Amino acid sequence: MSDEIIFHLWIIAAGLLAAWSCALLGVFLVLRKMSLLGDAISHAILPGIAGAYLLTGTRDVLPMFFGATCIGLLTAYISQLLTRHCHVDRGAALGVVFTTLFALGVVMIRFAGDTVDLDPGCVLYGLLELTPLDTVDVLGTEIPRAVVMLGAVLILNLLFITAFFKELTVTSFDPAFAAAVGISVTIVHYLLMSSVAITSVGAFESVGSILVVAMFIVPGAVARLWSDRMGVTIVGALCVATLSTLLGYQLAVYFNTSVAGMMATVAGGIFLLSAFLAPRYGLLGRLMQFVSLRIRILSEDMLGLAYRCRESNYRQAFPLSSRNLVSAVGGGILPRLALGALVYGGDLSKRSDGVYELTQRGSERAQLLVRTHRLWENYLVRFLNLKSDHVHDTATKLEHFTSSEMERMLTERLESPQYDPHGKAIPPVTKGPNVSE
Amino acid sequence: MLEDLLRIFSFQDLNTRVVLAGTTLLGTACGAIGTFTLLRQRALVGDALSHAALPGVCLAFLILGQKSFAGLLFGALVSGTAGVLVIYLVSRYTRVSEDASIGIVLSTFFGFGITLSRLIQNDPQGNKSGIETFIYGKAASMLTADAWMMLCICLGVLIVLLALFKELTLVCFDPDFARTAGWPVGALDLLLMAVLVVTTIAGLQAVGVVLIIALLITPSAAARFWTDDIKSMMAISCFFGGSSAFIGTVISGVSSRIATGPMIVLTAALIFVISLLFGSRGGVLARFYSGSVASMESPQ
Repeated sequence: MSDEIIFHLWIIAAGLLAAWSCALLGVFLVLRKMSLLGDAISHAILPGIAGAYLLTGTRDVLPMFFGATCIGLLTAYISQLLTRHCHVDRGAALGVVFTTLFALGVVMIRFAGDTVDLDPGCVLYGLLELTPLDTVDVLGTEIPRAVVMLGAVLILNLLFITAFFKELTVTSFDPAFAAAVGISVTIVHYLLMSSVAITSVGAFESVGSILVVAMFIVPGAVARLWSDRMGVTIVGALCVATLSTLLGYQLAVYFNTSVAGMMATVAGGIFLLSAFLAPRYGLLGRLMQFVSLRIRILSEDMLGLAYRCRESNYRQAFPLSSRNLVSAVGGGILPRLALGALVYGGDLSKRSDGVYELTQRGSERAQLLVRTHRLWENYLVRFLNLKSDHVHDTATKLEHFTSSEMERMLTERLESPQYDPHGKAIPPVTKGPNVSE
Repeated sequence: MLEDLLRIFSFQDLNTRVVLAGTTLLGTACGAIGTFTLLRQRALVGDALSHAALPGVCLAFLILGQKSFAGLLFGALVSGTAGVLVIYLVSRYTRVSEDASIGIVLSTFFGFGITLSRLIQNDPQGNKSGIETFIYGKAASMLTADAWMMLCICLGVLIVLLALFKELTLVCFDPDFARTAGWPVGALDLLLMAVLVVTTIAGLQAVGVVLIIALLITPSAAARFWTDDIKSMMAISCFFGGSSAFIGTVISGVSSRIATGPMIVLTAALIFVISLLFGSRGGVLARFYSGSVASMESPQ
């Protein structure tokens, strides 16, 4: 392989390792509504890094990790202390602590002056592009320092997640239950916070704190939009991290711009797509759920209307043309769609003169709906003591959400009534809703 | 050192006067708006907002070509507002919680801004100094026009907040009641966000992306330890914001090595710690004292 390809591969490797390390922990941060603690810690570790540097005078890794982890834990601890015992708002407590520490770090770096080659800009957006230049010797091969460091961080995080998977999950979903079965919520919390701090330090030099924050929060949030299962969420988050890294790197090379910035941008794009497209929790998904529910209710209203017209022989006075059907349930686009769905589903058929008629299947559905409606009216009058002229609207709502099981129970409870409170006959159950034609 | 202090306090040179006036006005405005964002539990929206402004600044720079300050401000305003809207929509209509959507907006908008700023740096003709100022802030380079702008913004913020004081207070303390009583809670929230956006964007160039957050949060969080009354809280918060900006600027005037932004933030943090310890309402000492009095008086 040519040197150039290896150069590119090392950058991608560093990016992937950083993204995976962050995404693994991020799932739990998002789940516990602690996303912003990740943000705060990744900014606040600056004085820890600067302090270690000023004290030792070298860019040795271990003192930096130690200093930054201490500061990271301190951030988590102080902000929790402020929230719990001094009644400071949770967000405000975080904001006060991390901005103060960040300012302290900037001052420390400035005071160190020219002797220190720590650039506050690097802390924010890193220089992933330069990682292959700084190598260390591992078993005879030259490997970039960042890759070694991030690899170690990833292994550490993997070990942590595997070892404490049960504890992390239980304390995330139900802290009270966790405490009851003897899992220390506090210990798990601070273990997670130490991992967050260690990951932030490991990643800060190469990818910068902004990408750390993006990779902590975005993959976890995206995966949560698509899935409810913990395992799937973690795998999904890792996939999002991988995709952001690979695509982000390609785009960054193409446009000749910051790799870390591009990775964060791609992650943001993936989130935006998911927020729209995710089936259950996305915007379009929720809109579709709303529309389909609305169409079901409207089409059931139309069926009921058609049944009542046939029952009272209103065919002459109120012909069931499409205009009459649509305007009877409010008019607009959704009723038109509902009418289309009824015809498509074979519940209504259109005669040559433009008037709709119930088919066999449609009249069975309508009969069941009207039956449920009138049973509910009886129930409301008999057991809730409502006046008989007050029950129609409530029954109209209830008829759409009554299963056949519930209909049977209603019939039993009311001892199979023949007439509703208004004196209209309650139609019998025909073949039952499960029989298909 | 002494001469430096003398030079600052005698307000001899115009530059010192301008910078002091500018930062103090900024601190006051931030203290005022911070009171409401804190009570509305939106303290960290400022965090997202200040980061979300960057892509707008860069886009304005790329489109306008030259460093036009008004253009950069306008770009910041647009993308900052977009960021706040995304937070609102995502946390309201999807499963993602508010804190996660704040984190997502701040990191991805800022990441996008970084990619754009690198594009500007690649351009040999591009003068990137304007953008660097927005990220790290440079109070010392404030011009007379900037100070006048700060004055206008500070007055504007105070006028809007005082004019709608009753309504905003209601929305902060009991949004559900406000909604049932027929107040336009959404519109008032948006107005609050608009004021926040303007203040934040104006402050970016003075203290930078990260440290403006401190000015928006710390003075009001400190003021909360001295009073339970929102009017006095706002007054105290303005005072804390203004004085930490003033003191921080004076200290940084002593040596060119000390950046103004971080010094202002550290001064505000010191005021916060003092308030936390000695504050008359919920300060540690006050609570310790009242706790021990209560335990002495309570019958066994």
